[in-house]
Amino acid sequence: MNIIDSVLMAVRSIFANRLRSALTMLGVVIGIASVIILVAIGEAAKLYVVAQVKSWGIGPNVIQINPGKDQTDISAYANSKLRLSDAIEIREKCPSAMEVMPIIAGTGKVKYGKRDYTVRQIWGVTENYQKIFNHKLTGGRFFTKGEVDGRRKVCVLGKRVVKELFGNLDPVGEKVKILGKKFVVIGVFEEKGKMLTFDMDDVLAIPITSAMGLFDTKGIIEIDIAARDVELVPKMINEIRAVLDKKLSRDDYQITTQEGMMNMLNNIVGLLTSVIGGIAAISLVVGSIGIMNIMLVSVTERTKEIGIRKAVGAKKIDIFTQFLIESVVISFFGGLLGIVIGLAGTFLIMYVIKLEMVVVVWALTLAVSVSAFIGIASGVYPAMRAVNLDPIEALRYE
Amino acid sequence: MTDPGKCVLCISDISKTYRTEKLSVPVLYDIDLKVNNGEFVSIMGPSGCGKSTLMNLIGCLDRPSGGSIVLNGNDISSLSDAKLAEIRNKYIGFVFQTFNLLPRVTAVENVEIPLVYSGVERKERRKKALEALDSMGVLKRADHKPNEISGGERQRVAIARAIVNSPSIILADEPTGNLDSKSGKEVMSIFDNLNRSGVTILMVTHDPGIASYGSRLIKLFDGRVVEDSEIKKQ
Repeated sequence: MNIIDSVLMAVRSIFANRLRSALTMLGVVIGIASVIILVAIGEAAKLYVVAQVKSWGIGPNVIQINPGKDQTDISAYANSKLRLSDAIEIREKCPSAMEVMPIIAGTGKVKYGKRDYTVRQIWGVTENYQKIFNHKLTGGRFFTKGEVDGRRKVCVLGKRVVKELFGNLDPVGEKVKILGKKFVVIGVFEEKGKMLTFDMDDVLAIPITSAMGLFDTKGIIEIDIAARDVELVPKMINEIRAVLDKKLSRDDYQITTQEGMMNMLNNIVGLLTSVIGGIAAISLVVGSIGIMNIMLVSVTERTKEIGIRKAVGAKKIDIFTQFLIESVVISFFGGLLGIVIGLAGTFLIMYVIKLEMVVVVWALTLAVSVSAFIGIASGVYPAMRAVNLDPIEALRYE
Repeated sequence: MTDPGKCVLCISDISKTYRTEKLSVPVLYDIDLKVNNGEFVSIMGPSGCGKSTLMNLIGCLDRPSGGSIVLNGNDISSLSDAKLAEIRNKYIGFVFQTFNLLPRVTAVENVEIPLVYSGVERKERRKKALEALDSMGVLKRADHKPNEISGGERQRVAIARAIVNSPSIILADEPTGNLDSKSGKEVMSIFDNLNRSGVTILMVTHDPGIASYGSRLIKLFDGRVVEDSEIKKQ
């Protein structure tokens, strides 16, 4: 019996039970489509994260120091052992460091006249803020070293803050109250949009010296340091460690390079992708169980047919291939349809959430091989059942 | 076809015992039987006498517990499953009481099935199947499904399937059992014609009238051959 005959026979028998075959196929279709869609979303999210981080404009020569021994150590931020003096010492003693910018962060109510607005991020920074972050101004100016050293009460507002407090008015020169203290608005940041979930326009920058008083804290939550050159980053890290290790233990601070940052973000997104993809893969398993179930029903239903076929000369291998091919055909076409729907679904979703469409070749390859494998795996057992039917019993079956 | 008069089926001393875990049930004892080419043998006997078992053994659907069956020169008592399937395909044509046609495919496709398993190419297959249907007088039913044609026609399609591969022997198990007497007679005259053209037929029946179409009558009782006689034609 040749393979074309077998495939035709399988297709006919699939068509003989259209609804049942379609529902069985649906299990595979859903499984494959959801794996493709979710993996594509994950990959797109990865690219998005990378693009966002790059758009933030932090050069590859910038590293950041945070309190705590690693990124999971959130509580370390609340009682940071990093001090302004550390930043100053790094600036003085690390020749590879070009810019050193410490940050204090808090949140609080800002008032202008009768209006008030709680700003999500109030940053205490130094005058070189713009040299580290690519955050331009649309009006006014940024504060100077003199203003930082002099603990001047000046501030630069993000777009959102301006909108909430001033509407369409120009805020430069106006006075606002931050946590009850009067500050003069000297500049406005240009609109930056959201970075990941973080609204970059819902910010307000003041001199770090003023922020320490305002929030009554000495704990620095981040020091950003730009090396003179990317090549110097490893050397600079050694220099920084030499300074900090004298005062702090390795558990008190951590250094993250841009590369490390990117890796970390990629790892998080990648992990999420695998988890979601894994959940989708469960539906593939369910689909495969569906095929096996239907094939078992089909073998029982066609017991008599199997008996007849055996009586007129079908060998065991003929019966085996007949049922195996049927299950492979179901899952193969299920897989094919799943890919089409998966790609269409990805395209639609990407269009709606405005991300770039990514065709993940490995996910497609995997989907195809998985669906073929499912067809074989879920067909073998029912096919064996068919093969082992006693022809006499099978002929007598009603 | 081989020479007329030559032994097409030689059964020597076969027995069959069904064994379960606790008991063994003997069904056939020491059957010796020679069927020559061109014979039309009717097998009769009460229910449970072992007729069906004998047919299953000759039909290579089962193996004897002892003794040997030689069909067309092949000792089938010692062959592998695959070889047995091949023997069934090439040398044996089954005709069943309940026709046993595949319900979902057309008459011509039913007739093609044995050819599919002997690897006959598609066009040739269709040609042979149509010829077989034509010789049974049911060519016009070629594209009908079994449930669209009468019982007599179904049995003729089934006979077409049995003869399509030019078997050495046709095994018919109560071929008229599900037919009215008119269709039954038609089917029997087909067997008669087939036999006249040289086809060897082995037929199990309850009906003495049907049995009388044969040229030889074998009676089984309790697993043994109790009568083996020539049938005189009226």
